[in-house]
Amino acid sequence: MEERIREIILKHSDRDAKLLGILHDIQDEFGYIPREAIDIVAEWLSISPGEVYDTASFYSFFRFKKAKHVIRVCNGIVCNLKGSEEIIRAIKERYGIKEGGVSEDGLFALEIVECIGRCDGPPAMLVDDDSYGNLTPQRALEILRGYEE
Amino acid sequence: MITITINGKSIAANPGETILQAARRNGVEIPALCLMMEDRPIGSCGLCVVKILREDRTSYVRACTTKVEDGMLIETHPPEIEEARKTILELLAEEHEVGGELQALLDRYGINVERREVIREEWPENPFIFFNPKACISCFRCVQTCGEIKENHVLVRRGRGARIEIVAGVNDSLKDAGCAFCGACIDACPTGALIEKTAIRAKGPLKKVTTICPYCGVGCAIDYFVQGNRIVYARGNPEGVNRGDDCLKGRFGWEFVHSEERLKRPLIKRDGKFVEVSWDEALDYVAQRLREIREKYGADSIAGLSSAKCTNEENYLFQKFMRTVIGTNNVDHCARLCHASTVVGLFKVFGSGAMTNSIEDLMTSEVFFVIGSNTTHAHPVIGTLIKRAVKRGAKLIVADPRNIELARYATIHLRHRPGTDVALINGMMHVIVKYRLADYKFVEERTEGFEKLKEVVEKYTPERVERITGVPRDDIIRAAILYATHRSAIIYAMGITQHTSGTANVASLANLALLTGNVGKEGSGVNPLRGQNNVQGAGDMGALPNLLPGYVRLDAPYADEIERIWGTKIPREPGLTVVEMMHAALKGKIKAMYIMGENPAVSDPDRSRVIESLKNLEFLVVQDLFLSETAQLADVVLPAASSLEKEGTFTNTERRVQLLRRVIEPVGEAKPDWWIITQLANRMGASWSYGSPKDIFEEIRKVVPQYRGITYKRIEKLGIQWPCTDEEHPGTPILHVDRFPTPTGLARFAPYEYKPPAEESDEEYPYILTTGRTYEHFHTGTLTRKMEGFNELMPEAFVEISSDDAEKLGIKNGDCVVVESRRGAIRVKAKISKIKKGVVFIPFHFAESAANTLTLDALDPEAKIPELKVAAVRLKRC
Amino acid sequence: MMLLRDAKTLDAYVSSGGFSSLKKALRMKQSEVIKEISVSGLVGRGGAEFPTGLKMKFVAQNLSTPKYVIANADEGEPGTFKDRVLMERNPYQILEGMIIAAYAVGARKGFFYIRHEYRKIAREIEKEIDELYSEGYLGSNILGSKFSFDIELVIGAGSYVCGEETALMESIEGKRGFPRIKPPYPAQRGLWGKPTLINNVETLANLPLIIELGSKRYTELGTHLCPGPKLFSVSGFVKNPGVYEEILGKITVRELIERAGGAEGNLKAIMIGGGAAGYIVDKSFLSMPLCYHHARERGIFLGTGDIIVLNDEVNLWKVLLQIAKFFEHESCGQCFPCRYGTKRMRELIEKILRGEGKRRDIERLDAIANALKIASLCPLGSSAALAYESAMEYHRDELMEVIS
Repeated sequence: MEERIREIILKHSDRDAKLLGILHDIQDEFGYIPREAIDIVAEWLSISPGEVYDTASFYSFFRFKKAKHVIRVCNGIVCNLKGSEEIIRAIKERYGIKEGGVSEDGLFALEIVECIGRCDGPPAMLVDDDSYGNLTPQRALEILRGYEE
Repeated sequence: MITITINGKSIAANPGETILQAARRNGVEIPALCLMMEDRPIGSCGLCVVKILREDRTSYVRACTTKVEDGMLIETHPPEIEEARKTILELLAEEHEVGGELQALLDRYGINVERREVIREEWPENPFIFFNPKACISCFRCVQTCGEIKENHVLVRRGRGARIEIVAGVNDSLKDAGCAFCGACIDACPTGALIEKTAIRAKGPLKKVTTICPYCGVGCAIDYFVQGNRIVYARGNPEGVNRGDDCLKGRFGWEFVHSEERLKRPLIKRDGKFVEVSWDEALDYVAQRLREIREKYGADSIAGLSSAKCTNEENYLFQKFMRTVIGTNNVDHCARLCHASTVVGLFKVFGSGAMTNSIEDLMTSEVFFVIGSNTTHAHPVIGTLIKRAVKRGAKLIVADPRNIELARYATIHLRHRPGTDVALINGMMHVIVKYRLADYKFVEERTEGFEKLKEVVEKYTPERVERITGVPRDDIIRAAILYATHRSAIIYAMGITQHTSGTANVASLANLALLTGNVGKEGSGVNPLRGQNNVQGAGDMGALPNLLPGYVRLDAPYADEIERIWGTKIPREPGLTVVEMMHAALKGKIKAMYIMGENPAVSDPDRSRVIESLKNLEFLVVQDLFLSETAQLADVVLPAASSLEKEGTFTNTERRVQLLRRVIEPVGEAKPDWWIITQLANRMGASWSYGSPKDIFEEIRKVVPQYRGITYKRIEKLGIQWPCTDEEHPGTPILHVDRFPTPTGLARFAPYEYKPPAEESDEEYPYILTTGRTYEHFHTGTLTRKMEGFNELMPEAFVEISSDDAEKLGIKNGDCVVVESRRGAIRVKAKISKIKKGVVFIPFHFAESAANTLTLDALDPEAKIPELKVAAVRLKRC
Repeated sequence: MMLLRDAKTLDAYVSSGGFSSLKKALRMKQSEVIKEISVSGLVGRGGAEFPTGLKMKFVAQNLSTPKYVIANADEGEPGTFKDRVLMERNPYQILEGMIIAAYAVGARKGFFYIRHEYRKIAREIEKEIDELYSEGYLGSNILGSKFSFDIELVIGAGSYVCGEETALMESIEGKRGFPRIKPPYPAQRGLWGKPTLINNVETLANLPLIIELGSKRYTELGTHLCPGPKLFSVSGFVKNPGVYEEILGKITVRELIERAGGAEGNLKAIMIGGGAAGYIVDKSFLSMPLCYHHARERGIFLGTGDIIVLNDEVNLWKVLLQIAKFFEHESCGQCFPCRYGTKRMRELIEKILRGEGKRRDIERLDAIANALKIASLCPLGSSAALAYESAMEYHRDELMEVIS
C-alpha cells in the first residue's frame, strides 16, 4: 500500500494544487482514504496528519470507510419533488444499507446527496462517477445490478 | 488620525485598527466570543457584528475584522443586531453546556434556555488535559493557538456544519497525535471545555505566584496558582522571556513537589540502612566527618559537586564553602558534562563563554543554523520560536544525524556522522573562503589570525568533507552559501559540546560566525542553549575547579581582590573536574564528597565505574529532593527545598538574571540549600551571617563584576542580562557589539583540524550510539519520573534505529533489544525511525536502562568534557 | 446560439471561428481588452452580478505577482445545471475566455475548478486542456506571442460552499472550504495571497464573444441596462426541463416557461435565482422580463438564472424543508449563526410538517432568519433564509394555514 501511495503522490509533485487531487487518486485506488495514507501524505506535504484530516473530513466526497461502489442519490429540491425518496427507499431495502452506511458485503455505500446538477432529468443518481437520470425505483435497481458483478 | 462616529459620538481612530479596537478603546463594549488576538480575528461567532450607515446603503460587518475608514458611521447596538446576538446566544446555549466567557454573555443578555442533549464524541484519555465535548462550541480558538501560534497543528476540525468538532490529529489521543501538552489550548478556551485535570475540582480563590521554571535554561516565567500549600495549576507568564509560551514540563511538570517520595527529614545510614534524624544531628555529623577526613588526608581529599539546579546564591556559597571552609578547589558541577567546552571554546575565540545574543533577538534572524540541538524537545519554547520564524519566512539549516522535529522545517538538513562536526564546519568555511563570501571588512577590523584559519580550512574541500561526514557535497555548499549571505544565528547544544572534540567544535562555530561577520549584531551570534535552569549561573558563580566567581582565573590579580572581600585565603592550585574526581575516588585519592542536587550515578559516562567510585568513598553526603540513585549510596542525605519553595536567582541561557519567588512552603523539614551550606560552614568554624538569599546576592554583586549593577529590586518584573556594570546599566542583550573582551579587543580565530572521535565503529561494535534528552523527561528523571503523567507519556527508554539497520538485524518496532558497548550492556525497546543509517540513539533519563552504562569517559583535552555523544555499540534482539 | 453552440471537438470549434478572438486579443493591448469588456457591461453569471471588466481592472492594476485566473465550474445551486450543459457542449469557448482573461490581467497560471459530481466532464476538460497545449493555445508563447499561460484542473470533493470564491481558493490550496473574511477581495489577495481573477465559466465564455463582436455590438444584443446572452436552467414541473439561452431582457418568465413546454399541472409558485439561495415567488412574476435590472426592481436577484416551476400539488413547507436540509448539509460550520441557525430552521420546519407548528415557531424562524442575514460570515449563511422569507411574503396565507 505504502508503495502505491508514494507513486500517487509523486504524480502530483509538479502541481500547485496538490492535496485534493492526491486524496481523489487515493480514494479511487483504495475505495476510501486509509489512515496510513493520511500519514504518508502529511509527511510528504510537511504538514501534520491532523491538517490532512481537517481538510479531508470537510468534504462529503471523501470517505474513511471502504466500499467497492458508492451510490449517491440526489435529494436536491427538484429530484425530491420528482420522487427521489422512493428511489432511496428501494435501494435501502434491496441492499440493506442505511444512509451513510455500507452494505454488509462491502459492495455498495449509500449516500444521500444534495443537487448533482441533473435537474433536467430528475430523479438522478451517481454511481461512482457515472450519472443516471429519469430514474424509477425499478430502473435504479436494474442499474445497480450491473455493478454487482 | 481619522474620525469615525460610533452611536452618534465622534471618535478619533487610528488608521489600520479595527472597529472593535476603536470601540473598545472608547469604552463601547461589543460582545465577541471567538476573538482571542485582536490582530488575528477568527470571525466565527458573529456576535460583534455592527451596522455601517452609508448614503446608498447600510451594511452589517464584523467589528473584529473590519478596519475603520474615515467618516464611518457605526451603530453597535441597533435593535435588529441585539436581536441577532440574542438568537445566536440562545442557539449556542441550547446546544452546549456553558461556562466561562459564554456564561457571562448569557447572563448579560438574560438568556435562560433549556439545553438539549447533543451527542458529541469524547477524546481518548490523556494524562493532563480534560476535554468536555458538551461545552465545546467549536470557536476554533484552540485550533488557531495550536496551529498558527504554537506551530503544533495537533488540534484540528473534523466535519462541517453543526456537526463540526474539534479533534486531535486523525481522531487520535492527544499523545498519539503528537500533542506537546503546552496547555495553550486551555488558555484559549472561552467556555471551560478545556481545563487542566488538576484544576477541575478547584474551588474558591487561588493565589498566583510567578517564578522561574525549574527545568531547562530558557528560564520561562511561570504563574503558579496555589491553594493552601498545594499547586493547582500553572501557566506561562506573558511578561517573561517566554511571552506566555509554555511546554509540557513548565506547564505540568510541577507535581513532583507534592510527590510522596520527597525527602522530608535528614537521613543517616546506620548498618546499611537510612534512619531519620534531626537537622542538628545530621549537620553536626557531616561537619565532624568532613573535619576528620580533612585532618587525616588533607583538604584536597575532599571534593564537591555544586548544582545547576540550585540558585546563584547557593552555587556561590557552595564554591565559597569548598574553597574557604574546606580549603580546596575540587569543586565542579554538571556543566562539565554539558557546556564546559562552550566556556573554553567561546572564551578562546571571543574572550567570553556565553550565548552572544538573546532569545527575543532570534526573532530577527534571517537564517538559523541549528547544529547538535534537538531544540523543540530540549528547549521547546525556543523551538517554537524557530518554527514560527520559519513560517514567517526565515530559513533553517539543521545539522543532526537524527530526523529531529525541526528537520521538517529545514531548508537544508545535513545528516552528518556523529563526531564529524569540525570537518563539516571547516568544509562550510572552505566554501565561504573559496567563493569569497566572507565579511572581509569585519575580518579585517574585528579579528586576528585569519591567515591561519585560511590555511586550515583550505584542505577541507566539499568532496573530502563528504567522505568524512557523509553529507553530500552540494548540501555543504548550499548550507555555506545560505549561512554566509544572510543575518544568521548559530544555535547549538550538547550535540556539539559533548565530544572529545567539544572545544574544537565550539571554536569552529565561533570561527564560522566571525568569518561571516555574524557576531555582535542583531539576529546573529553563536548561541549555546544551556540545559539546566541555572547552568549559566552555576558557572558565573565559580562552581568550577579552575575559575573563581565571574570566570576569574585562580592566578589573576582580581583573585586577590576576592580574597580581600572574603577575608580569607583561596587555594591557588586548580582542582579536579567531575570525571577526574570520579577517577580519583576510584583510586582512593578522593576520600569524601559533598554532592548537592546532582545525580552522577546516572548522568555521568561509564556509570558502572562511577558507582564503584562513589562506593569507594569513605564519606558521601548528598543533598537532594529525592533519594536519587546517587543519594542511595550516601552516608548522609539532607532533604533540600525545591526551587518552587525558595527565593534566589537563576541565570538563564541568555545571561538573564531572574528572580525566584516562593510558591509554596518547603515540604516536611526540607530546607533551602543556602541555609544548609551556611549551617555546615558555621559548624566547621566559619562565621557566616547570611539571613536570606538577598544578603548573599549583595555579596555576589561585590565579587562578580558582570552582576554589579543587578539588584533584586531591578529584576522584580523581568531579569537583566549580564554584563551589567552599574545600577544605571540596562544590561547587555547582545555581546561583542563594539569590541571583544580580549586584551586587544579583537576576536581570535582558533582553527582546529578534524580529529576522529575517541571510539569509532568497527566490526565488533558496528553502530555509533548517540544520547540525549526527550521532550517528556528531564535529565536523570529525578523530577519528571516522579510524576505519573510523564511516565504515562514515556514510560521507558528506547533505542532509535533506522529501518535499514532494523531490517538487517531482524528487529521490529517495539522489540526488546540488547545494546552493548565495551563498558556494559542494557536492554531497551526498539523504535524504528528516520535516524541516519549506522547511528542509534538512546535517551539518558532512565536509570534502569541507563544509556551511560554504554558511554565512555574519554575527555576533551581542554574542557575535560566527556564524549557522551559517540560510543561504538552492537545490537541484538533479546 | 452564442454560448450553447455545439462545438465538442477542437476542429469543430476552430472551424466555426473559435480562437479568432484570442488571436485578436493578443494583438490588442491588455488594457484595451479590459476596456472592451468593461464597456460591454458584462456582469458575472455565477450569481453575484459583479461587473466583470471592473474585476479584471482591479487584478490588472495590482502590482503584486504572480497573478492567477480561476474558472469556477463548481456549480452547486440546486436547480442550476447550465454550466454543466455549457461544458458538455461548448467547452473550448470557456477555455478561450479563460486565456483571454489571463492575457488581459497578466496571469501566467490558471486553475479550472470543477465539482466532483461532474467528474466525467472534468476528464473531458482535462483532455481538452492537453489538446490546447499541443496546438499551441496553452503553454509558452501562445500562438507565437510573448504571452504564456498554464491551466491546472482541480476537482472538488462535495461541498456547495466551495462555489463561493474565497472558499474555492482555500480548496485549491488544499484546505477545508471555509470562506475567507472579505476584504481583502480576491483581486487584492486571492489564491496563495496573490491577486486573483475568479469567474464563473459562463462569464468566461462571454469574453470571446465580446472580443469577436466588439463591445458595441455586444451591448446592442440586450437591453442597455443588461446586455448579452444568458443561460437559464428550467426545471421542476415543466414539460421540457433544460437549459435555454436567451438574450437578457428580451423575454419574460412566462415566455421562458412556455419555451420549456409550459407548466405541468397548475403553476402555483416559481423559484427564481437559485434553488436554495433564491426566492419563492408567485404568479405575479410571470410577466417580469428576465434581466438583472428588472429583477432588482422587484426586490429579487436573477442569481444563477434558474427557474423551478412548482404546481399546486406541491406543499411549500416541504419545499422549505428541502432547502433547509440543503443548507444544514452544506453549511461549512465556520460561523455560529449559520452552523446552528440552519440546523434549527430544519428542526422547526419538521415540527411544522408534523402538524405541531405554533406561532412562536414562526417567530423563532423569523429571528433565525434575521440572525442569518445580519451575522453570517459569507453569502451562504445570509441567503439561507431567502427562500423562507420570500415564501412568507408571497405565500403567507397558505403557509400559515397549518400553524396554530
